[in-house]
Amino acid sequence: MKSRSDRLVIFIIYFGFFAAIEFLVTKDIVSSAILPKPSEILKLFWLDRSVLTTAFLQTAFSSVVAFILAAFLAFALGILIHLSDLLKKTAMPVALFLQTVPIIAIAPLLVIYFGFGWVTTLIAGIIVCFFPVLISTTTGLANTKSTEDELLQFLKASRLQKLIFLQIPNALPNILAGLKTSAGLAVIGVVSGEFLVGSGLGALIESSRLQQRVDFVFASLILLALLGLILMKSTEIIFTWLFKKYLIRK
Amino acid sequence: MELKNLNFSFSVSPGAAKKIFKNLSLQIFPGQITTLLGPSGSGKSTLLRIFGGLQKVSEEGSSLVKSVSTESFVFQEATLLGWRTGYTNIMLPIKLAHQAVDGKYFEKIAQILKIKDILDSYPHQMSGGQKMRVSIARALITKPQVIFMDEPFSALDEPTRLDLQDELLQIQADLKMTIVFVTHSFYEAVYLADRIIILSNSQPATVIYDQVQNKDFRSRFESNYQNKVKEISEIFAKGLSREK
Repeated sequence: MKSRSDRLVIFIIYFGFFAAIEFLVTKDIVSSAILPKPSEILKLFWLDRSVLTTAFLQTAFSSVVAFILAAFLAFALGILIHLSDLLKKTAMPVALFLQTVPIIAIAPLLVIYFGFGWVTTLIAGIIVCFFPVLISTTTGLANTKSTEDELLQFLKASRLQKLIFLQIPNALPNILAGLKTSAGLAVIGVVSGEFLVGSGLGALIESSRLQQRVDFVFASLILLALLGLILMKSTEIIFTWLFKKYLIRK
Repeated sequence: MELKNLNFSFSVSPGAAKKIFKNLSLQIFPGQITTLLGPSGSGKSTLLRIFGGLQKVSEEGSSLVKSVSTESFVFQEATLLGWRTGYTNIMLPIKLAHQAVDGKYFEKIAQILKIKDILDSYPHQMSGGQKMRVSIARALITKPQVIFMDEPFSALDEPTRLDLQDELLQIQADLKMTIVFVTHSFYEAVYLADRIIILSNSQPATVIYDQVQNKDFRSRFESNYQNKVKEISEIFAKGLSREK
């Protein structure tokens, strides 16, 4: 927990930083074509709230749906991979490929396959946030103590019972870490798709770039950062609320 | 339960094996507490795991004859699942086997083991002794004929350890089960055992002492108990020096 004085210091640092930018741009030391004044961005948030809100909600909706779908798919595949060596050898190279190749390079392919629609944006989001949950699930499932394994072995637990009573509960802290990473990545994937498809904050950034509206680009970036933070924090809060007893260990 | 001609080796490196037991035969008699004593690395835990079925005997000529319908294992660590309460940890074997709980029996073991107050607590809220009590209750809940215990009290403080020894004796007297108990402690072995087995530190290990003891003491303060501990420790020491 941050103390009150810590918070005050942090506020002063940020306030000083933005005040300095405001001063530099007002005095024309830095061009407003490169860096907009913080006060201008604030004004923009009010004056163009309708455009920004619509774009924000589009990106937020796509990110949430992509994140939820990716989380469920990756969790299910993680369990199947844990149960089958053959599937592990088959699916992991594909997952690794999707993780290592930048989404911006894959996105044009998605447009060819799925067109200039919402599905492309969604799939771009899913591809990006799939991998962390998959890896955290497979790692967590395999990460049981040998004595706990022996206990279940001695109690003659079936493969399914071992999964339900030991391995999945044991994997939940790992899965939460994977989910938090994925929540942030979902926004990146979705915006990459939106650049090409032409919707949400991705499209707003792209059109602002063409019109040299740096203020709009900055406003969109702030909203994207905010969206990533909200997704990560709400994932943590919801997951912790649902699975609290599984996350406290000693 | 009987092990016949046990041959058992551990692979220490590719192509090299360490012989732990060679033609070892040992019988466990029902209704007794048998304690297994031996120096570190003598194979007493391995022997317990073989009796318990956690370690398979596959070498030629070895066989384990067991006519036991229910058995339990208490590990050195309490091995409680951190996300389950004391009660749900105890009920795990029942749940896995889709059995019904015998409420009266559960009450009885909860009373002997003094765990009524911690049934709703999670393992991280329990002391080491409380965790071990829950672990023993979990082993007892299926009414086993045999319990295998692998140095269960070794990590506990002395007062808790002594308490648990007394509770274990009370449980055995009440429920008449067979207990095979591995320990490093002469005091513990003598206090608990109806029969004491001592393994050598040679490779392969051999049984250097195997006696049913006449428990002619009622408390740890009696001279008969102290003398017996002295006798066992001397046999143990002689065994070690002979093997050297």
